[in-house]
Amino acid sequence: MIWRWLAWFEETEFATWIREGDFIAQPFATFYVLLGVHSIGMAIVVGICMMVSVRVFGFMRGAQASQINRLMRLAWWGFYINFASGLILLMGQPRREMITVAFWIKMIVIVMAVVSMRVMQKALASVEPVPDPDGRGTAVEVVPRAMRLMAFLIDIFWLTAIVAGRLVGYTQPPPPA
Amino acid sequence: MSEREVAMLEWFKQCWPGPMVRDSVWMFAFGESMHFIGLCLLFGSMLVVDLRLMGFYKQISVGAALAFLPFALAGFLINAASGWLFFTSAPAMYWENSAFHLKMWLIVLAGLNALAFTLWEHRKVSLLGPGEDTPLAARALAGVSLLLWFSVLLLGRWLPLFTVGTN
Repeated sequence: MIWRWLAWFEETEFATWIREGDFIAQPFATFYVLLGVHSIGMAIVVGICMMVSVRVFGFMRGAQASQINRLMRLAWWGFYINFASGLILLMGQPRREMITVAFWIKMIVIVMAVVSMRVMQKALASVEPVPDPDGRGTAVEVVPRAMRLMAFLIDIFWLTAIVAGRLVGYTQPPPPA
Repeated sequence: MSEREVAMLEWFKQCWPGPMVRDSVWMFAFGESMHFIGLCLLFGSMLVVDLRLMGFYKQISVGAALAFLPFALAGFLINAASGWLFFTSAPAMYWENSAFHLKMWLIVLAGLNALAFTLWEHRKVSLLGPGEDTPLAARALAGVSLLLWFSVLLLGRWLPLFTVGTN
């Protein structure tokens, strides 16, 4: 039933525009414009998560944990951009994506990354701030060991999502009839 | 295309790892994954540095933000290496692509922008503490830096839209 509805949806003008249409003008194919936006979101969410995790690992202690945690808001905006652009990309060919194993691996690790980001954000917020002795941001807070593991897992989840995302294009079966 | 260009592209085509990439199913995909990981490192650190210089996240001292710069360099080196892998796999395809030329020029501009910051602003701003404002020139250079790098990212993603040859 759902499969038949998706087959009907793929024939709509909107889904066809995503797959084969142009965004405003040629040569800017809608699909590639969306991929561009998706890349920007990825650079923001994964890039910021990587930098936050560097601080959580114990490097760059000049930046206070509470301030680094504010960067997580930016990471979430990167994720929202990717969620929106990814959802629209999915609407272009939902059945083809759903029969691709790498797509599901990507979805699972993204969910794990997002849950871990939320947990780490809360944990970072609870780190007791250390008074800044010289007012130059020389913080020395040490974050709990469990949080380091969480930061490591977030990086692994996002890296796996990137690799799986690339593999989607290489392992995708032809569109279902 | 001139004879000289053809000879040059043929030379690039035989450079390592070009022949290996053309014979392999997965090497290009591996390069793409590395290119994406590299760009995340580059953008993550540039966002922290440039946004602080532009006046956002002011509670982070400028020195602490600048300490993230080595990750930008690491990301750039990963991308230069994976980019070389792509280029040697099909040099003519890239050479004939106008978006590729623009991307390379924008990378050069981003490099010059970073050099200008290092020469004129780095020393001035590196001692600024939390809450302190950066000079206008540093803000402008940081804004230009982000604009250039995001343009580079988009052009890279849109290369297939401007492909004319088949190598």
